Amino acid sequence: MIEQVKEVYENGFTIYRDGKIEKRELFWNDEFCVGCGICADICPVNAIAMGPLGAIAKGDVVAPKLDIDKDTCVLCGMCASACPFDALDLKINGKSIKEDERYPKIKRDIKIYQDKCVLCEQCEMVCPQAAITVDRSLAERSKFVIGEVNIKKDKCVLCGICAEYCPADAIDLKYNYPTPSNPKPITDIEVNSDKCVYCKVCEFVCPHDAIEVICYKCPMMKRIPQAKLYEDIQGKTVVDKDLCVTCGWCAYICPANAIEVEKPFKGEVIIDVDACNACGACISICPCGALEFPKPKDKAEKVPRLIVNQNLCVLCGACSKACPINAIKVVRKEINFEREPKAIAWKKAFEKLLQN
Amino acid sequence: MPDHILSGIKAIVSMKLRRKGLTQKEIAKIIKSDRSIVSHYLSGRYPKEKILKIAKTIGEIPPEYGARIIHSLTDDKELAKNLIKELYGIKLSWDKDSCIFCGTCLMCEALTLDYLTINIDYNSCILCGNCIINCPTNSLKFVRESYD
Repeated sequence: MIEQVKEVYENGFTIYRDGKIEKRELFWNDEFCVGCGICADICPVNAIAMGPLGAIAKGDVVAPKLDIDKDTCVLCGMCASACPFDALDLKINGKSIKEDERYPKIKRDIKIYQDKCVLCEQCEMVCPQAAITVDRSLAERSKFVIGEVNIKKDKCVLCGICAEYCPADAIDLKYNYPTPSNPKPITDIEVNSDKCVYCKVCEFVCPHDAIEVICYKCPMMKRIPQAKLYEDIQGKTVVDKDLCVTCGWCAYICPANAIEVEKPFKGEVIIDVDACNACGACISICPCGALEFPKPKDKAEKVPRLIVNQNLCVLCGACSKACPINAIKVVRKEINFEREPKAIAWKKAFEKLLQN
Repeated sequence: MPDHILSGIKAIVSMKLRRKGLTQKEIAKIIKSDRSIVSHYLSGRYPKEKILKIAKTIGEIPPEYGARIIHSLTDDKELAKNLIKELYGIKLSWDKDSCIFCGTCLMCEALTLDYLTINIDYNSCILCGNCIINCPTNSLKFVRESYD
């Protein structure tokens, strides 16, 4: 056997062998690994052992999610080819098999249609991996809100009643620590024109008739533009594809159908609710946040112990691997291939993923 | 002792080749010995019965094991190859259906990977069986020459 060398780093390891004709290097990155165990399922030589996934996900144990025995591994690259999360990669003479047309690849992609996007920022709020961000910048408020506020300083007693009523928090009182040389607790009053909407509440509530508000919005209606997306409201939605797990949560809730997600598998998750003892390992490990302990709305209402939203699931199987009592089954019916396996042994190996 | 066992194997191979109709001169060339020694082998005068028994047993075990024993008896790789080839009547064979193309066998210069085919150069293959031992999927095997 040619000697294979393993180098372990903080966030993963490399196993390589330097042959006469080819150099093969296998890389594993713990940061991208979700602990789904697809690599261990497909490995033809059983070289991959998964760590205590439930405990790792819950933060009870600090350990790598998997380990590969360097002497058992034959560097065939099946694990790298099947890994949906790019946590594993095999390079042959420096070239990644993910870029090699001859090797199979599982499809997984996310597309943002910026022309459809309404910059609502809701995708950013739901993404379980913080992989999507919406950079939105709005035109100045003064473009749409115009008017003036005049405070008659001779009538104003600095009582602060207007400030307490102001719904926009636009009135600032200048407080002073009273001293013998400067004995007044409030020295001045100012209106913040960035916040004021000229609603006139301050004018109505001032018992001293010290405020005058003139709102230009109605008389000058025609001069105020209707805000336009991508003109007055600029923005861009950006996905970090390295972080994205294509759970599809963003696409599922997008009000404008501006996101398209291609998932690696078709199938379903089946939960044996009676067997579940609600340890929470599955919820902790799920990269998609697709599992939930539902809370009863009313007292004594019966709810299932654990539920899954199939729309948010990628069928990676991490929950099933982490479950200590095998209460979760991930049934994959179809693999979404970008490139299908050609060699017979590889075809058979990928079929194993469907027989879960 | 290893030399004795090697002689035993040479004797058995000589007898096999003689039955095939090869001359003593031709046999001597294959087993890399003098013609006079081939004559001893064929007449049964040498080596001893005990040695022949061991050699016969080696001839009966699966060739991937036997090949390793024979290679360990001599550093002459060409001789070992000739003896293994004649003793077992085998050649290396590759199964395209079970191969996962891991490249482990490519450490041997007789084997090359050409996309989804492993090519075997039968001239440079010395029938050492290392590739068979290391193949994780048993895709390389020794098969009878008439197997095709």
